[in-house]
Amino acid sequence: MKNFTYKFAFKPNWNYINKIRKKTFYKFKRYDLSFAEETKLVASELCENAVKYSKSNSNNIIKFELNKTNDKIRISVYSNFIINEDINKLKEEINKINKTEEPEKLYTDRLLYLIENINIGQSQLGLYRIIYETKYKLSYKIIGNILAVIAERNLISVEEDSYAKL
Amino acid sequence: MQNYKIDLLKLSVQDGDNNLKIIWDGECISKNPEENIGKILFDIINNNKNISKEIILDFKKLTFINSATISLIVIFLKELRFKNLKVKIDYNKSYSWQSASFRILENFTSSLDNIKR
Repeated sequence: MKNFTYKFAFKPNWNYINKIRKKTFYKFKRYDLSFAEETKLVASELCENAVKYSKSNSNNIIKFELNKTNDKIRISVYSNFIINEDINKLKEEINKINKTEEPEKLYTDRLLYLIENINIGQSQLGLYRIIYETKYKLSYKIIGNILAVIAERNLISVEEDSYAKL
Repeated sequence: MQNYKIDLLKLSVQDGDNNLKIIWDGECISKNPEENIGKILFDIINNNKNISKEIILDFKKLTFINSATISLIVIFLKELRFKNLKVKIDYNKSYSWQSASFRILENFTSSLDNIKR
């Protein structure tokens, strides 16, 4: 499969996320199904977070970028967050997630925390799912007022299916 | 059988002799699932005061679920636990994403025994 970069810029509107989910899955349909599914999940969760937390004014734009090289996939979502508190919370969550050696326990603990602190829309559960359910690793960058959340994984263990190789 | 349509999701409720099965078919993509899916789920158990059957959450036909809906299901599982209702989570173990998403919820139901309202 050739290297590519797919970019999509959109207003913080929930309806655009379905387009990104479909496009991401379509891009990797030649790979094994579980890889395409997990990449779709990552794209979806990062975009959902960006829409939930970014400014909803008409000038604000979220940028989604899907980049494939010979050995790596990178998903980047750039957004303008509402308040610093949200950025700090997100940085804290990503740092905690990256440090863990027990993603399943971390995810289960998060579910238990959610039961005691019901706030479905602000759970950040998507980040925990990414680290538990997929092979992607998370990181972030702050560029001025823009926050970029990045998910990366290598392609070494991912095979295109036999039909696609014909 | 009762059917409900929410965005790209179809929920079907089958009231059997020994269980009440809620079949999830399609994609869970709601931004605020507590306002639509949640209302349906809680109505099912709150409007049926004599409910004492096993509740089966059947996810085998589901093709995608976002984390907001996972959060809602966790809250729903807690409510079922408080009502002393037996719960079974049914999913397709050979489908890798379903296995990853629902195995943990299946295990999670047992840890709810220690949760207080």
